[in-house]
Amino acid sequence: METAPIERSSPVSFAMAPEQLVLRGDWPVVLRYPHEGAGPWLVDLSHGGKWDFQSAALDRLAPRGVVLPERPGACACAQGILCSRLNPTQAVAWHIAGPVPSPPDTCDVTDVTDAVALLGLVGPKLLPTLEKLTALDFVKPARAAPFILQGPVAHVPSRVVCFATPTAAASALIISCARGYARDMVDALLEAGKEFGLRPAGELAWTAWIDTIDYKKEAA
Amino acid sequence: MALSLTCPICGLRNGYEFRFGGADKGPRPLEEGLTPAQWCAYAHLNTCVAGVQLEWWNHKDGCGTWFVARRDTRSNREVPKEDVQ
Amino acid sequence: MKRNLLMNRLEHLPTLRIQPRQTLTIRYNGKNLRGYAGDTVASLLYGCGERIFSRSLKYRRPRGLYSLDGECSNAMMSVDGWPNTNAETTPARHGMVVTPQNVVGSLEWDPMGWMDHLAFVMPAGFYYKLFHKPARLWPLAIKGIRQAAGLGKLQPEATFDCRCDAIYPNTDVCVVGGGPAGMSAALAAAENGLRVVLLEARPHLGGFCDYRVRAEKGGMPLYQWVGALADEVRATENIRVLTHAPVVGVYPDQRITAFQRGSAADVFDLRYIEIAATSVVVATGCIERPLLFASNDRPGIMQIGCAHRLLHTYGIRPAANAVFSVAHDLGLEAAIDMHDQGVTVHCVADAREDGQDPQMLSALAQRGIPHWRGWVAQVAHGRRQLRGVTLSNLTGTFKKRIGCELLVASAGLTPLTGLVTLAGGALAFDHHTGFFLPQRLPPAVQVCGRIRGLHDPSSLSADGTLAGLRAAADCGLNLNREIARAEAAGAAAPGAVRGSKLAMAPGKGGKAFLCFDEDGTVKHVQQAMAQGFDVPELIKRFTSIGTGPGQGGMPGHNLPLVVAHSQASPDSDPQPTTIRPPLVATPIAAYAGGKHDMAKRTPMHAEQLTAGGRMERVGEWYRARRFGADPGAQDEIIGVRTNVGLLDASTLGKFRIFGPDAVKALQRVYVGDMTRTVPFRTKYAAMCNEDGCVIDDGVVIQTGENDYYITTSTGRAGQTVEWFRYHTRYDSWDYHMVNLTDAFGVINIAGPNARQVLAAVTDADISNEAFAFSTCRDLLLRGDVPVRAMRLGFVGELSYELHVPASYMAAVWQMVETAGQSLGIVHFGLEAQSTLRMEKGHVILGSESEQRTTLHDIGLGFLWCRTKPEAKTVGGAALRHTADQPGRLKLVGFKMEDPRSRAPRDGSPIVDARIRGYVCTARFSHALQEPVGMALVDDDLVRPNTRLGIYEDGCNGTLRHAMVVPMPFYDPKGLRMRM
Repeated sequence: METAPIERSSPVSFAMAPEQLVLRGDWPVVLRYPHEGAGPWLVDLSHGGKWDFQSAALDRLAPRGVVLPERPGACACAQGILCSRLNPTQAVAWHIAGPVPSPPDTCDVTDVTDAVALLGLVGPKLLPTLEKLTALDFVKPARAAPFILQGPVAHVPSRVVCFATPTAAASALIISCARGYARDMVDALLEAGKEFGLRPAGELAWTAWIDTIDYKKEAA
Repeated sequence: MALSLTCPICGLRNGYEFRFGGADKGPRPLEEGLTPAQWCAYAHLNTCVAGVQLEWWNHKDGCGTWFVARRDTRSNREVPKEDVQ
Repeated sequence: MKRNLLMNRLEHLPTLRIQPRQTLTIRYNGKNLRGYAGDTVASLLYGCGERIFSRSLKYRRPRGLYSLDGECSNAMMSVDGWPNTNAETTPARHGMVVTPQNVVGSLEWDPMGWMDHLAFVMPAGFYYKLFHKPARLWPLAIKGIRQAAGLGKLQPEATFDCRCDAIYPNTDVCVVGGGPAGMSAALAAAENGLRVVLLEARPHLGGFCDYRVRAEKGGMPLYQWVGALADEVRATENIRVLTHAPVVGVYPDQRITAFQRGSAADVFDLRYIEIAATSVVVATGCIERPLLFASNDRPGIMQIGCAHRLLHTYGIRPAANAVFSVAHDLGLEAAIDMHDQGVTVHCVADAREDGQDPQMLSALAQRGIPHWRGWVAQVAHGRRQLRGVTLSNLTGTFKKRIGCELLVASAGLTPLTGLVTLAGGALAFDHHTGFFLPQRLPPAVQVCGRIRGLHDPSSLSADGTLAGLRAAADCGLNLNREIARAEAAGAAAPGAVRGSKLAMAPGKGGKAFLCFDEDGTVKHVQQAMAQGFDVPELIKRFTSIGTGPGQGGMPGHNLPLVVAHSQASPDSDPQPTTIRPPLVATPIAAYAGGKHDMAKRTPMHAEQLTAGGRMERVGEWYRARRFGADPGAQDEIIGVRTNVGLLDASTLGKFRIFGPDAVKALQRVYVGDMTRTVPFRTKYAAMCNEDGCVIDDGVVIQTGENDYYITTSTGRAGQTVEWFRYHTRYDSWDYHMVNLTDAFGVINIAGPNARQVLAAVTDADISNEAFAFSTCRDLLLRGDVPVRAMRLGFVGELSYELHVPASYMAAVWQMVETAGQSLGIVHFGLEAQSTLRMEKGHVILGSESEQRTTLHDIGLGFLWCRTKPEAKTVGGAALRHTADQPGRLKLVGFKMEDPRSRAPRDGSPIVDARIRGYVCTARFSHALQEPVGMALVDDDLVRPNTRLGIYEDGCNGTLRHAMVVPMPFYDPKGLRMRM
């Protein structure tokens, strides 16, 4: 049998060769693209592990390394895993920074790593960009960041996590949508953000920002 | 555009995000001994209230929740809970 | 003509909105015409001396510039190939190509002009009546009418380079109208920390004060006063100003749609705007009410604001000399300004007997301009252009004819209340203002400014502030004290102005146009009333007045007024007609927005393209129809039957369902008995709707305790979770679903050599004994990639369906391709799959079923378990009731009588004396070497050897014939898929 390495591939690809690339497990991860500019940036985070938790007793579930927020719409971040409460019986966790964790250990979890594309947006002018694609209101009612909104972005059912005061000069968002829509979603985002200078960037642009918030704190 | 609905999880949203699930007719009837007329009444007959009607709606483009909304069929507007007699 | 004089603009006016230093040229009717940045197409044309802008719809009368806000179709032209573009609201751009429309000859001389003299044969409603009987006249008439009717010409082959996008802003307060009242409202709301969006239809803020130099009480000219207000608005961070953005509609819960025209500096040409607001302030102000008199449509007659803005905004003297016939102080002001800029004003006829601003009267007197109270224009003279006007007093007893180039005519003002009506507010006629004033406003809708009959600048700003505060209160702020203070300030300011209620100039004869768009005259209204139509709503429909591109804007007030005036009891209040969106003519491209066609791609999209795949949209996905040029995909079909083929089936719906009550949920939606699943054995199952009509099929696999993996058809994937939840919504069952459709790619390896290919990529024992038909195994490919493999037989050969994590899919695809290379593995697409499965008699829902097709009809009744009524299966009751129901369409297989003929086209009706069914799918079968197909036919045609007549498009009545045969056509015992 052949022994060529087996690589996983992201549904997202930008029309340019990466400047810096690493292999993380089976995933090739782009760290940097040429000509990334001064932001805002669009970063592919689809290689991160993703898990779906569902249980009638979700609050009694204590998956290792994941903090489950109590209220639907709220998010919690610990050890590089962002967990968002979608409704009383469901939450999703995304690995968005730091070392690759081992998968959560409960039978109520489903690995959905390949089910969705994760797109990070970092930098200024994120709301004017999103406003061209969605009617979601990130400002009102006021919510404690990070928070998650579920609704159509570019007509595609999506989930959007907002990390900082959305009106802040620089902010970060994650958009998740069905994997199959990744390419058209990327096109739609780049097209909408063109007037604000939105450009594709490697993972470093994302981690540089995420390092400024306290995502590494221990799980409670 | 002509309708907005309040999803119990996501809040007030454009009606285009939702799918209509019909008037709230209560649980399914028992299949045993169900006559065609009774089945048809459950599946297809609607009272078509001119006024506030309880209806099932699904937030299909958002959280996916099925919920019961109160809609005034005359104005095509949602009626808050406290306004329902 | 003194055109040379008119070419020169007044360059030093402080109110100018053009840049006299930046010239631009447009191409108009074969001529190059020069204008300035800031010009609209209409102002540029007028500035270059053009006076006739179009020919009217019905009578082909010459029409000129009348308003400047696109209120009627007079200025509709073809701009860069876009028909029916209103020149008044379209900014001129260098290099634009503009052509007039609705013209056979030239604007000055149109051979269709004789239509004007035929008006007597075209009374109101003539379309409805004239061609009604005899019916044989209609085909002749329709040809001529179609040629003459309509505005503009579509160019089906034309493409437009239009940059379109959309925005969906959320805001607390949305203010519509950027005049003094609207700006005051926006500032008041913004001062309280709220998000405000201010929409203005014109390209700049300021409203009706923007072009006025008259000084108000503070001594500051009005344009400076609103300029300062506009600066303050623009400097306020939480006010977002959207100019050149007319509002299209307002919908419940304060949702507003508008569109915006971009300039060359913007990133868009057209932008669709959809605003979700908490409160709406309507400050749309007023437009002018046309004066009704004979030939009131002659080029050279225009409204006050039109003349005034031509002068002050665009620096164009509209004519060398003018007569005014007005009924509002704005007209007096315009006459004074016109005189001051060198236009000879012969006289100002004022329909009001009293109530004029004394300052204005003395200013007129100072300039020696005669002011005639109680006089009005009665007849306009001149054929193609205005040559003069006959004025008369209101009773028509005295007349005077005056020669002039320009007649500024207006019967007064009328508020723009469309938004109020759309929002659910009511209007009532007010005798003091002569307006339809907003009454009973819906919650969270405020009105302010001229729309309420106010006029004085101090009243407008006080009223705007009050509305802004009330809107802020709608957003939940407690502002009772501030509101009380603003109310007091408003009460102290001058109140609503008494308005002119003049309906028509005295005198009979001639055409007095209520509606320029539809060539509707006062006479048409009278004809309609003589025939018994008594309310404006019906008269509007019968005469088509107010149904043109300008909608009810111009005639919206005059029509009810004329009707009330002509009624037997003149005391009855005028009734307005109904307003509906769009409030302004909106280009369809604006609705289309930017990128809107979102589609899904499978993880092997790129690989299939490389392999020559011809992709097409199937629902939300792109899928390969075939590989290569042959539309019948012959090589693919033969490859699968004799060797091995590779199909991307990733679009299948895939779900995990788990939890203590999962099996109850499965029992509810699947018609089979789901309690009898065997772990890791595939169970083919179907879902029906309440009517027993089959909506989905797929496999169900039990993968653990209370844990299942199910597949659905591509088209149903998006609704499956919703469907489960809907049908268990009253049950509070504890089960959970995860949509894994996109999480797994699916490769179907099918053909007699499929096992060899799979064996090359896995170490697992996949012999027929270890991995039998209808079972499922979790395997590792090359010791690394976890896949779920199933042995299914959709195409009728030995086949493995590999469910692979999507991110590994490209690697696995390559792996399988490489493994099959030496065997000559083929790619196959939907076309080949459809033929292969059809030979097996397997159905594709949607091809072999339609909305009324039950499980029984397509021979899948055996999937239904009738002994589980306690599950309350969706469709169970209907399946029971329809099991032996006669008169249904049933699925049969057929072969052509002539085996050498081609297969009939899908969808062809099956007929005898009437339609008896239709062909679902028919293809040439390479296995049988003749065409075969499946059809849904009446239940008396299902017996083998029944002769079916097939009617194809273009067969001219010559039917083709087929015989019903048993299915499946190929490998009836199903041995090959069990190999």
